[in-house]
Amino acid sequence: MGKKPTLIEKREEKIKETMLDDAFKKAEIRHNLRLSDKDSKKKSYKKTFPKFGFVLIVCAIIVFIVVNYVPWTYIEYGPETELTTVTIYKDFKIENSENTEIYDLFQSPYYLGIERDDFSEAATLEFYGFISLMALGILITIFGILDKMRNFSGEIFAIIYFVAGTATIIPGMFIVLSVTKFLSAQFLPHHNVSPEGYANIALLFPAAFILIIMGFVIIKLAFTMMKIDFNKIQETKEEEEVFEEAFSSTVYRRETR
Amino acid sequence: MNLKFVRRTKKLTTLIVVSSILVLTLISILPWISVIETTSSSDTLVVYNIAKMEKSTDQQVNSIQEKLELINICFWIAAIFGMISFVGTIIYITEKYGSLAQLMMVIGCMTIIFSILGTFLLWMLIKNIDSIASISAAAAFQNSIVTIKYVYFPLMVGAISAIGSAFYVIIVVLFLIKRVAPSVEQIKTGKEKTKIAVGKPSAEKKQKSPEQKTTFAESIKTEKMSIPEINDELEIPTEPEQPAKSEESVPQKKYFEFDKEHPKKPDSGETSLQSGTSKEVPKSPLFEKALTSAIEKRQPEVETENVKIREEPVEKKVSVRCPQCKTVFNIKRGEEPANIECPNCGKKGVTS
Repeated sequence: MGKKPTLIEKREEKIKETMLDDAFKKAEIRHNLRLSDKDSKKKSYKKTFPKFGFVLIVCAIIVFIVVNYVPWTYIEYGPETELTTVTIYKDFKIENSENTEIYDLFQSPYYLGIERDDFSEAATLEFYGFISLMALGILITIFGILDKMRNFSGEIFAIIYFVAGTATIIPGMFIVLSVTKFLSAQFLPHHNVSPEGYANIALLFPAAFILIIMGFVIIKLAFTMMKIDFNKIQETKEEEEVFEEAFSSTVYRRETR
Repeated sequence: MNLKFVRRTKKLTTLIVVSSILVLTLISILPWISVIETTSSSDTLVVYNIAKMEKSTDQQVNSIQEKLELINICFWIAAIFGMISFVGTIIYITEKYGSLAQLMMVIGCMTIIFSILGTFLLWMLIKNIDSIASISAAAAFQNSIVTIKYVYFPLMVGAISAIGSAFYVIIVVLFLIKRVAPSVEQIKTGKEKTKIAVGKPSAEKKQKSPEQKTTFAESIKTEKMSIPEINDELEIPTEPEQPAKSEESVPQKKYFEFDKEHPKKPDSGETSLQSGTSKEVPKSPLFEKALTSAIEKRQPEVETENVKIREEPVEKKVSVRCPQCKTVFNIKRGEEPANIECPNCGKKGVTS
């Protein structure tokens, strides 16, 4: 009587058998001895719930908060003037002061390169960016929920996900480019105004800075999320290709023997 | 699936999109020109960015701003076409809607027009700025030897975008030619051969279907045979001068010949035995080892099955219990009634 196989040995044997069976089935399909079973043969892309939708919604909310509640311009005057600090919000709403000096800063001879109209114009563009981000985020999330219910094929899921991901880059670009003039206005006085004249005033555009960073973060996120899923698909395809290559070489050997 | 091609196109499209975004950002952030403005007291040098140019009353400055807007539009379109080609690449890798993916990649080739046009316009604008007496390009770094101007930064990034799109176009066009060329050749040169091969599809099918129905033992036997043996089995003549043994064997041979010239792609659903002939260097010995062991493992099973099938009607055993000593022993069944004897106590009896 032989020694009884242990549980681990049995399991090992089972795994080996299934592996060999799979290899053999594929060999049979190759030799036209068995009809190909596409479901078992094709390794499909593993779907995960698109969290990117939630990320986009969060980004859109951050953009909305920044546009409405973060100061667009923060001016600090020097000791020679009566004013100390001035905060300007979207649509050129000024807090603390009604001094005309502030208006002069955004008028002729345009040292800053931005006017009062730019505040409302940029805010409107940012609002459109917020709406499109929100819409894309909701669409991606709804698509993820629909996928749970209807179970789309991996390929269709990947295509829709990637199209939505690529579309996200456009509002990201809008968010960045609509406020770059504020960043530019930060540097322009350094060229145009003499250091002595510029000493009494300090300018900062916090909303524009945050929005530019947010815009680039959205673009980077879109690329990263797509890269992760792209690599997943690539790995699946590589595995398939390696198998095909190995198999065809085996068939070749047998044939030439 | 050509993964190398996919990886390259993905990298290039990403480069095109990112560089286009960078150019757009640099155009709106950087100071572009410095203008000498004459006032009653003195001449002052004022630096303009695109937003400031827009509000200027000087016509020359306005014309520069208009050209910059045109460059902006060029890079916006280049970025959008880059995104289209990116989506095309993604659709291509999923192996679904292949023609749509190819169309998108071809449309994405339009990036070359807009990125080169944008870069060229930038170059022309720099030349134009230098030619105007009162206007010069704003300097980022000025020295007695070297002067680095702000306008060079978007020009450099624009050039990168143009080079990237040129590479992208080359790769996509070469890939499409590679894909289209074999099929055109096949149409031109292999018309007669395809006729021979496809001419008798029903006969071929008829020949194949019984093959598929062959038992497993037979298939293993075929696998272990050499090429001449297989040819003998399939009644295919080994030498072209030899006369055909049967009528069906002639188209069969032609079919194999055609397949060797145009092997099937590995990604097709059901490839035939000849699909691997195009590979010259065999790889993955592990796989072959696994396959061979699988065949070996299956073989005894099949053989025992066959033996069982043959033996079952001959050897039918019945267990009998001795009424005297209670020993259980086996007897052959078939010829009843038969005389039996207990192997333990020797008691004799008759089966019913």
